[in-house]
Amino acid sequence: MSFKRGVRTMALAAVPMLVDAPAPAAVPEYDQTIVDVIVADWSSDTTQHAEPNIAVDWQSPGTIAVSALFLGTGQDDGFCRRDLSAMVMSFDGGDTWSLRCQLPLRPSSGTDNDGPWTRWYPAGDVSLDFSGDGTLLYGSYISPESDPNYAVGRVVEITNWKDAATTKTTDLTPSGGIVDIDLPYTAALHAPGQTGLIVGGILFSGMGTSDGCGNGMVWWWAGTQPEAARCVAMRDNNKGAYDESVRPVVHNSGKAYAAFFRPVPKKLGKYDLVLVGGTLSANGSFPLGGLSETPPGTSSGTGDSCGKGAGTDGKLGVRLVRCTTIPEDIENEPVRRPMGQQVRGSDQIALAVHPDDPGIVYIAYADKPGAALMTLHLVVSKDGGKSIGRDLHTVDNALNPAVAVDSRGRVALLYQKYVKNGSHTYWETRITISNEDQTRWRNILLSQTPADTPVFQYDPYIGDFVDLAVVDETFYGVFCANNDPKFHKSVKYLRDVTTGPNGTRTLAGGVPVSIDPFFFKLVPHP
Amino acid sequence: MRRALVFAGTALAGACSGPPSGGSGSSSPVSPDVVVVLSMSSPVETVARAVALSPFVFTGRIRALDSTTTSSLGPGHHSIVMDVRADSDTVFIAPRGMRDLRRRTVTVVAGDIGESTAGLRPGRALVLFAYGLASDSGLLLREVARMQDVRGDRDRLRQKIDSAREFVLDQQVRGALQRSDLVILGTVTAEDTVAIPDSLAALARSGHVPRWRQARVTVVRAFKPAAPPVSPMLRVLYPGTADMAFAAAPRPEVGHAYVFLLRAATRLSERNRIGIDPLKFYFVLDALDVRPEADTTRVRRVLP
Repeated sequence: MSFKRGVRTMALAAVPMLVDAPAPAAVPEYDQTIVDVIVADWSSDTTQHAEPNIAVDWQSPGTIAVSALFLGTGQDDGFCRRDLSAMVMSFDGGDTWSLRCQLPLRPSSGTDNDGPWTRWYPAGDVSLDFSGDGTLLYGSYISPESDPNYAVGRVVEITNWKDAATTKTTDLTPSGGIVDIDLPYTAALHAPGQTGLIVGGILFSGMGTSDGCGNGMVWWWAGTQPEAARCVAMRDNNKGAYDESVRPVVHNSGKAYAAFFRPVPKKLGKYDLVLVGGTLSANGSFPLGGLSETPPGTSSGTGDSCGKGAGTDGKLGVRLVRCTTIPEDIENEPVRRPMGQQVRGSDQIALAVHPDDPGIVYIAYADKPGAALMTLHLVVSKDGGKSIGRDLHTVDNALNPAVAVDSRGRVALLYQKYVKNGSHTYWETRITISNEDQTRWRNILLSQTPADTPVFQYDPYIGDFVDLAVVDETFYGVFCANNDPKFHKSVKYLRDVTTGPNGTRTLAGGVPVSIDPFFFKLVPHP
Repeated sequence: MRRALVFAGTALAGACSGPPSGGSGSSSPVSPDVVVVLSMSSPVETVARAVALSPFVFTGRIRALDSTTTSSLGPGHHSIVMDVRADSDTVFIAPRGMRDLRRRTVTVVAGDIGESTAGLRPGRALVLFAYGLASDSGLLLREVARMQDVRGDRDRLRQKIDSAREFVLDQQVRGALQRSDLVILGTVTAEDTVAIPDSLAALARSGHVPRWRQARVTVVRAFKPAAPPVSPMLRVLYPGTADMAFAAAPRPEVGHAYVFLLRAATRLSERNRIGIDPLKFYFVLDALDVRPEADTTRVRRVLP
């Protein structure tokens, strides 16, 4: 009896220890699905697809849309009517995909120098998201002109997308689009029953002059007209480069953030990572000034990001990282591509908000603080964007970050890493997923392909972004990579592949290897 | 308000009524809502208009009407399910990235709901002009025009379609000629980068600027205006960037002769001429702006 009691005592003694210091929750195992989304009919395609994006209908997650550069098109011929561009959609959770011509190109009005025989150019930087009520698929993208203007930005809403013959696309930019824009990025309100979206982007208009905006813009649509457009003061007098991106995110509560790299004046190659924020409201109010380093009207604007002291700079937003270095390969002469044919630039930012707390913001970005070709950082702000802690995760020689937080608070960071192994170089696409309190991480290799093949056709090579989404605890993502099936042993191909006697797969018909978009889905084990 | 293309062919009865049956609704500048019936006697310009709108032109036999081979087509559409012929001379136009259409069964959304499959019947052979709507386990197209397929006339049909494609290219070149300030036959004697002063270089730094190079072109002959330019040597800007936005831009090579459809650099946007004296240059940007020397005849023929 006493022995049993002793055992019991010992057992009781152990219990409080478990209560006081519970073992960190494990990171789940994930079932993995990866699919090359180039459809079977497009099996002879050798186009370099890049710049992928994904949207998942959170109410019906079997419905997924993926975009990438030049889907359904060659250099000068395509599948669609010539004034439309394509994306792919799945209605079964990503197992099968359908190429669809649903993105209208040039505006319906406006002067056209070429007359009715004008050539159209495929849409670029296509960014998609489903509305909170599940009835709309939003898209923002650029529709290049043959010059002198470069591109018109379109923001559209797509309805009845399942029936390809009656899909309707409505322009949210009825005045003919946003002229001279780059890198538009869509973030829709996902709150149940709600519609509306914000779009971040760069305005080229006024380049070389002063339009008082400084290039970076965030637009907010609650209905069919832009309710507000806010300049985020990216740079002074529009001088210098303009390849930065403005990445927005919006929480179900209406709290919205946008992050971007702001060049440090007079310090070529130096940037501040800036976060702006505000709360969307039904009357169209979008006060991005919700985040600032000093109360409005009190800033002297004397701070120097690269100098001593911690002065304020008098501009919109909070500088979360100051005076960091970012190489702009594509802006140099000659263009350098030291990372596997890929150019580096100041558009390497991703954002996510904790679903249960709009004050917790995860920011992934890439810069070059040391010897690595590019270093990727994941940081978190737990005070609504006013400050960040030290890196939760750091990856050298990596870029193209995307970040998402699942319904239990697990954080996922998707990225592409350049790896040298002797004389061989590779692009690895990896995702790192945390447990619920970010004390443990699991790293999953999604793809490893040669970085020197195929030879690049144009910039960007694998694209300057990837994308990641989450519904409940399932992560959905898309990245671009070399499509040689022998490097993707567990990947499902829709395009034709041939399996040799030794089990090695190749693209059927001797079609040369190119760059394709790959969808993936990670479902946690119960 | 939709815009219907005006075809010179025979419009199907009722094809102009009702809502648009495909594509992007009111935002689209090209809405080929009129489906036409073509024949071997249709004028080449009529066939050309159908060809210009159609990435697909093929022959096949009707397998079924108002049915589908793809889940991408909802109910309520009139459609033609076609078996594409297996013989070699059956697909006249198809996108290069597509796999072989022969022996495929495809679904083609026909005209406007209600009347456009009238008069058709399974087993009938057709030549279809169409563009893509969706591609998944099946292929879904939208009909632009149709023509009766007569097997014995296949060579004539191919000639007619080839003539139509030439007509389309003529129209495209004519459009490019119209917007051109100077059209010449010239030989590239040298090429190099365009030096931009350091003080302005920072303004021109971006991935999406053309990063101009200049070709020095000796004028052999002038077409527009007919009088030769004052200087026999022209400086022609062309994109030197590898950026995707300029992937299809022309890159004239030293030692080669081309027909140049030139625009004055003064037409360039401010962003694209930072650091450049626009009075000293012409530019080429679109693939149509530089034609092979062999296209001299075409240029002379279609010059407005």
